[in-house]
Amino acid sequence: MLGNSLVDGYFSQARSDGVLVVNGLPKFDLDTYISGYAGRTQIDRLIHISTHSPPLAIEGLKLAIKLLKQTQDVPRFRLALDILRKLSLEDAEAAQDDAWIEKTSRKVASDTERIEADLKSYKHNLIKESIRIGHEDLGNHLYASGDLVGALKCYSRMRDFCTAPKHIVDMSMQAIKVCIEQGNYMTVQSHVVKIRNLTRGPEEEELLRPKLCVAMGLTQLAAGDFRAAARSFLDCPPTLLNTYNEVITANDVATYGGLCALASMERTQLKTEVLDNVEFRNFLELEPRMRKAITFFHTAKYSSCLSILEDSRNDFLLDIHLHRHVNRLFESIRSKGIVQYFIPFSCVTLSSMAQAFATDERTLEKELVVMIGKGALDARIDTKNRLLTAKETNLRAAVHRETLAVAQNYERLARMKLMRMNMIRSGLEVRGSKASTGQVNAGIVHGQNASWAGNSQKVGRNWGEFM
Amino acid sequence: MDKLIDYFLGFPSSPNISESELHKQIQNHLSLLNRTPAATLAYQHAGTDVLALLDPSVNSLAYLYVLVARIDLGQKNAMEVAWRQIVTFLETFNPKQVRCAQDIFKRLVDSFFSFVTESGKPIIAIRPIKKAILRFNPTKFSFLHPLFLRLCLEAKCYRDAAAIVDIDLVEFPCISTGKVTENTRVREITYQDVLTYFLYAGMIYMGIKEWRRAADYLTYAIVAPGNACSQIQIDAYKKYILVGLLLDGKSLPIPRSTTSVANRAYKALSKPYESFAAAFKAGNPELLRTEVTQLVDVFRQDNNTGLAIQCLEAFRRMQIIALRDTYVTLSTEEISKKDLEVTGRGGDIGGKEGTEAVILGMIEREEISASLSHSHPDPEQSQTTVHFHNHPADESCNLAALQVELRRIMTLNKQMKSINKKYGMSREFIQHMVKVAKMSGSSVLAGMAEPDLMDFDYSFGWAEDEPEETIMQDFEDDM
Repeated sequence: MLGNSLVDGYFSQARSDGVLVVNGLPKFDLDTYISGYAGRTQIDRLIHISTHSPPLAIEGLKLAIKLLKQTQDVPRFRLALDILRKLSLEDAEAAQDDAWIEKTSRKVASDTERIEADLKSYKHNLIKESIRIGHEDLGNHLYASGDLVGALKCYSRMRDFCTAPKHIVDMSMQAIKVCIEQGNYMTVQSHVVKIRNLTRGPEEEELLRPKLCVAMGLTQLAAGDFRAAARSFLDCPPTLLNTYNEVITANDVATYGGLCALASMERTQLKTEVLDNVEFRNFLELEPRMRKAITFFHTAKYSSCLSILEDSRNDFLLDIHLHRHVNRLFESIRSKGIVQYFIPFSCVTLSSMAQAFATDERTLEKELVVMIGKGALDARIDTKNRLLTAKETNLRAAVHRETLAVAQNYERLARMKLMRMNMIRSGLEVRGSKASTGQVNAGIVHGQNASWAGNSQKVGRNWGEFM
Repeated sequence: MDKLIDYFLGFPSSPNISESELHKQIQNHLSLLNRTPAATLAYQHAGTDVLALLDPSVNSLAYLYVLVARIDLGQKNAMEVAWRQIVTFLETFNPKQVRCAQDIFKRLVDSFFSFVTESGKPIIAIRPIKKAILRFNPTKFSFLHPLFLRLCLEAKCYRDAAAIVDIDLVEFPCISTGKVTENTRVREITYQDVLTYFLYAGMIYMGIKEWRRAADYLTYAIVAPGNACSQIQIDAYKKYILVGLLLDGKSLPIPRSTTSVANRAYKALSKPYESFAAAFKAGNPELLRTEVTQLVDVFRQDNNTGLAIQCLEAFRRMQIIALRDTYVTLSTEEISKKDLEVTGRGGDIGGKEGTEAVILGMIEREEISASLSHSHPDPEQSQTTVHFHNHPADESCNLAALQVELRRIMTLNKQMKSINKKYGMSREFIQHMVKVAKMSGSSVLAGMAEPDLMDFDYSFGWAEDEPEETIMQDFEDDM
């Protein structure tokens, strides 16, 4: 199956288009992995895996098509079939099911019509509750049949007909789900904030919090704000379990949270906020590899930590939410490791450092140069003696330099403003073809106020008394 | 004529007379001089030269009038004879008298100026005009300022000019005040004069490689107020970008006080410069080289080629200075491999030896604190290593600079106070205050609480001992 030339052709094309292609096999088993999820995200994930991983492509697509047949999502069925056709003709022939497409399309069309008619009649009757439900039904229907834009529109229309806070929460949760699938994280964020601002009972709170935390975390992850994302995921209560499978599993929370924490937190923070976090421990237990990596990082065994992460790299790359950030995450984990490693030293040989990070000196040196250039590492390289030495800082001199700079800057700025003011005062403005005298006067008045910077109020008061 | 000479010599009546008396005498004297026909003044007295009898430092006005009359009436060659006397006059005249005859004085200077430029000897005018400027109040802008800088630029006497531009201007001649007496015929100073002065001053400092001061002067031109943008300002801005590169390695920001019109014009008209600066800042020699090949014509058109070449020379030096932050030791071979040579002159300067020479020069000029060491006595096998020292703890140096800065700011503060007082008493401001008071009724404070235009980064104690009472009295007098 792997020798299939069509598959090779497809992926070399994809690679040249700039799409990431993961050659190695991931650590997970596709069936088990996908069964952890529910709803649309199953198919999304399958298609993502199929388009990025040559060995799993055909299997994934077949599975996706099988699952799609149980839904009414015709556009996606077609999409999956198209990709499959490019990869393997025989399998596509086998999966082709015109009758199903025909039948389902017809059903979707008629259902849409029916629900829209219902909605219209509700609108005639002007009963808010019915209209809301009508919109929701239509939204759900469109969502199920693959029209995400339409679905989101329907959910947004519900807003005007919400009478209780509960309704708003429901609507927002629906919208969040759709938006996460669309990758429209700005809207996700606004909806999360909206729900958080609503007052609600403790039970409801308990039910919603995990989902909100996760949604927020995903938003922050998408924005590349790893620290905030780590916090959101770490805050997530273990009650999440499998309640939000249409978006995320508990395993994912452990992975995302762990990676973001590794990329953004200090070693002590990792200990107190991640490893000793009672709630998050429940998640970490699901992902022992992640826990091991964090423990290794905390105990300063950077090379072991990095090798564990490197082993799981393929898994991360095939994750629908994570794949875009893997490189940046790894990079920041690595450079943070280097910084943390270097803290206790004033001087360290490049060779021992290269050993600790499992690379050769040359690559390490390049990496260090980049990091120093970015200001991430406060050190200098001694290429002759192959050493990395910490910079000595002289605070006193630094303060002096700073003071001098501030003073000079101040003088320069003051002179500039003074010059400008004087020019206005003397009527030396740059003028276009025609000059107006009123301009000059206004200018003087303006410049005048400026010259009173410090004591204008005081003088003003004096004048006031005089009047 | 003899009578006239006696009269000339009889003025002023005595060296020590009161201001008002002197002023009266000057006025009388001037009216006489203005009445006297030029032919009489220019008349060469038999045997004796009038100018030889007059002392330019005492009888300045008469001396001036006679000189101008001679130049006016004389032929082309009049100047050939007169220029020595003009030089003597400019070096010794009495500013109090001459100030009352600005127009004549300007005519003299103008003809002198055109004479020296036409004869291609601007250098002879530099000393006298410099002295003349210093004789008047050098902190006040006069028509001499731009003329003088122009001469200096033409003669390449940047050092001489620096003596003048080092003095910060705090005053401009007021056009709007009614104080101007009968001498209103003097061509008023225009904004072009001021802007060219700033531009020239910037160029003078560029000539002596004082990039900071150059940038300051260019800033003055850039932020000039108004409702239009002058070509001079745009030229200043283009130079400003290049100077910024030489100063800091990146283009300096447009100051915030810049008018929006000018701001837009700068952005629209200096795109090539911006992209050059971006390439420079990125530190990528390849990118910079391609930029330069595209921009050669632009620089030539704007007469900025020299500055641009200096930027390119500075590029390598700055990159080497930047290495100091990353490395303790580095071989020159490594540095030359980075291929930082962008001037495109070819030859050996980009190679190992060239790099070594550049670094040696930088160490000698104290641009960088480092040392070079050879690993082997035989130059063929030797590896030269640069050892970058830590930032030297130049505490005494810093402290001295701080002291100087403190003094400068104190002077500035004094100047600021006097201006503050002067403007506070000006008619316009008082009228404004009255208007504000009327408009807002009782709450004058509301009018005063306008946001300050002078948004310094931190406030400074202007007002320890502000003479408000005096202002109040003056105000009452005024009413």
